[in-house]
Amino acid sequence: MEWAVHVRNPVLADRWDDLLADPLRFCEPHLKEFHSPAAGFFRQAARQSPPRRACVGNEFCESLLPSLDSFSVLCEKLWNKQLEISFLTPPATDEGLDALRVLFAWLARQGRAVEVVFNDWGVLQLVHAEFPGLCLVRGRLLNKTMRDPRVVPLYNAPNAPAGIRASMQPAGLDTPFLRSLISRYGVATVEMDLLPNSADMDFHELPFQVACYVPCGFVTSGRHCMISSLHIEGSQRFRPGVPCRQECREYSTTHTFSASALSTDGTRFFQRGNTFFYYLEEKALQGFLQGAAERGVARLIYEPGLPM
Amino acid sequence: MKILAPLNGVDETEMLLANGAEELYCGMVPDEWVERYTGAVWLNRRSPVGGNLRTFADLGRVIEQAHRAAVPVFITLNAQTYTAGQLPLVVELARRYVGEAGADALIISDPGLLMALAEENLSCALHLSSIAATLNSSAIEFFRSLGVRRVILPRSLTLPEIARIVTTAGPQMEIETFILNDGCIFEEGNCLTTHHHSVGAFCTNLVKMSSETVKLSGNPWREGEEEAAAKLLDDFRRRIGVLTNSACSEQGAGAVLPGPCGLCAIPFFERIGVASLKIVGREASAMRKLMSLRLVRSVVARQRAGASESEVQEHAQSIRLAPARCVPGEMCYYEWEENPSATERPAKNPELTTISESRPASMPGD
Repeated sequence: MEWAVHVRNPVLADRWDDLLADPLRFCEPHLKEFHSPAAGFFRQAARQSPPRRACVGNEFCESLLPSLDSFSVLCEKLWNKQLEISFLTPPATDEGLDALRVLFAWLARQGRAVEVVFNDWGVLQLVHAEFPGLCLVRGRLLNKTMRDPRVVPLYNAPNAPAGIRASMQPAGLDTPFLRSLISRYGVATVEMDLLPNSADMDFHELPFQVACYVPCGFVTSGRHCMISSLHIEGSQRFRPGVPCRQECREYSTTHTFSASALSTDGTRFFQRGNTFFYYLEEKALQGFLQGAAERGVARLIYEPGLPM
Repeated sequence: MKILAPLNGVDETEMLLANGAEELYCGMVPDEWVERYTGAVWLNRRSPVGGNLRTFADLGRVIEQAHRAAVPVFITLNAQTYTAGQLPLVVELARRYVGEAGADALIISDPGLLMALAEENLSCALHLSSIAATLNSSAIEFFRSLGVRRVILPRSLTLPEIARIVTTAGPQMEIETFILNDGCIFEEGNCLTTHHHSVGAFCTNLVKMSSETVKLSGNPWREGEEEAAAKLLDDFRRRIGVLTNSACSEQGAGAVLPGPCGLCAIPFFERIGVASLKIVGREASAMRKLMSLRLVRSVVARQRAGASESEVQEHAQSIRLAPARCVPGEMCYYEWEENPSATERPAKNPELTTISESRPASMPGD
C-alpha cells in the first residue's frame, strides 16, 4: 500500500519536507483535532517510505481549475522531487472542458505517466478520445454510495434491516455492468471517500485498485457556491457561474446537526467553497487505517486539510 | 417542444391530459421493493408512498389512458446507483414497466443500469435523468454510446451552457430542461444525502443547524467582515427556502404557486431546440400539478401563437402573481434577463482562476 498526498496549493509543494515531517502544521486550525489521527499515521508511514505520488487540482469546483502557467509550474516542482502526479478534475461544463483540454494537452506532451482522475463522465470521454496516453482513474464523486452522516451510522447498525445495510455497499462497483463499463475505458484504479462502513469492506474483491482519501469525505457538492457570493448582492447571489474570487480559500463554515432525537445529533458538517465535508469518528478512522492494507486498499491519499 | 407533467395517481391522468400535458412521467414502487429495502431506500428518488404509483395495474391504467390521447409515459428508475443485490429486481421491474404496462421510456441515471438494460433490448427509449449531472457535451456523447436518446439537463446549467450543449448534441439527441417547481441548492447527482422524513432533506435541515463561519488564516475579522459573512449565511438559507421549502410540498395560496421556475426561458428553449419542458413534482398534490400545468401551458400557448420573446416573458411574470420574488429574479432557475441570446459567458478574471496565486496572505503552515 502506498501513501499519496493531496498537494492542494503550491505552498505544499515548496514545503514538501516540512509537510512530511509535520503534516498537522498545514491543517486549518479548527480542524486539527479531526486530522490528527490520520496525520500521525501518515507521518509514521512517510518516515519509513516517503510518498511518491502527489494529487494536484480539485475535484469539486470548476472555478478552481488552474491556469496552464500555474499548473505547469506546480507539476515541474513535483516532478523535480521525483513525485508522480495524479490530476484531480471536477465536474465540468463545456467551458470547463475547454480549460481542461489545454491542461491535458500540456500533460500529454510531457511524455510522463500521469493519472487523470475523472469525476465527470464527459471528462472520461474526452481523455479517452483525445489523450489516450493519459491514465484514467475514476474519482470519488462517481462513487454514489449514500454517506449522509445523519443516518448512515444508523443504517449500518447491526440491528438495522438487512435491506438497508445491503444498500450501503460501494456504489455499483459490485455489479458486473459498471465494472465492465469503466474497464472498457482502461480504468484500473478507483478512488473512494472513507465511508462509515469502509473498515468492514474487503477491497480485494474488486477488480480495481482502490485509493481512499483520509481523513475527510464529501457529503454534497454543487454549483451554487455560498462563499463565492460574498462579494455579490441581491438575487444574483448563489447562482451557478458567478465570478469567483476564491473566497473558499479564506473562509469555512461549520454546521452542527441538532435538535434531533437520533444518536447522530451533534454531527458536524464542514462547508468549504461549493462542497460539504464530514469526518469519521476517530475510532472508525483508526480502525480503517490499521486494517487498510490487509483489506486491499492500494493507496491512501492524505488530505492536509479540507480539499479546496 | 413538449410539456412534460408528473403524476402519482391514476385519477390524475385524465386531468393532466385534459389540461395540456403532452408527455407524462411517474414512478412505480411495488410492495416487493419496500419489503426488501424498507421505505428508507428509494427506488427512484421519491418516497414509495408519497411520490409513486404502487401497482402494475395502476401503471397500466395510466399508460392506457395516456396512449388513447397519444401521450407517451416515461417511468423513473433514477436512483444514483443500484447495488448488485438490487439490480436483478430493478431490471425485472424495467422489463415489466415496458413489456407489461407499455411504458414508452425509462428515466435512468446509473450507468451500470444502462449497461444492464442494453442487454435486455427493451422496446422503449432510454432517457438520462438529471441525477446523472450531465453538465457538458462530452458527457452526452458518453451516454449516447450507452443507448440514451434524451438527456434531462440539471437546473444548475446556465442558458448559454444549455445552448452550447443542445447545439453540440445535435438533433438526434433530445434535450429536456426543467421549467417549474422545486429546485436544489446542490447538484442532485452529487448530493449523497437522504431526503428521508426521519431527518429531512439535508438542504432544508441545514437551515435549522447551528453554524459558524471562521477565517482559515486565523487573522482577526476586519470591520464589517463578520457581519457580512453572517448575512451571507442568512441569505443562503433564504435561497434554500425559496428553492425547496416553498416548492412542491406546499400548495400555494389561492392562485399563487410558490417555488422556482424557468417560465421566462421558454422562448429561448424553443429557439435553441429543446425537446421537452419538465414540470417537477411527482409527489405534489393534484391541485398543485394542475396549477403548474396551466401555468406552463399558458406561457407555451403564448409562445406558439407567435408572441415575441419579451411578450412571452411579460405574460409569464404576470400570471406568476409573485412580483416581489419574480421581478428581481429570486425564483429563476435561469438568469434569462442577463443575456439569454448569448452563447458565451463573460470571461472570468484569469488571475482568479488559478490554484496558486490567490491563496490567502497567510495560511496554515506559513
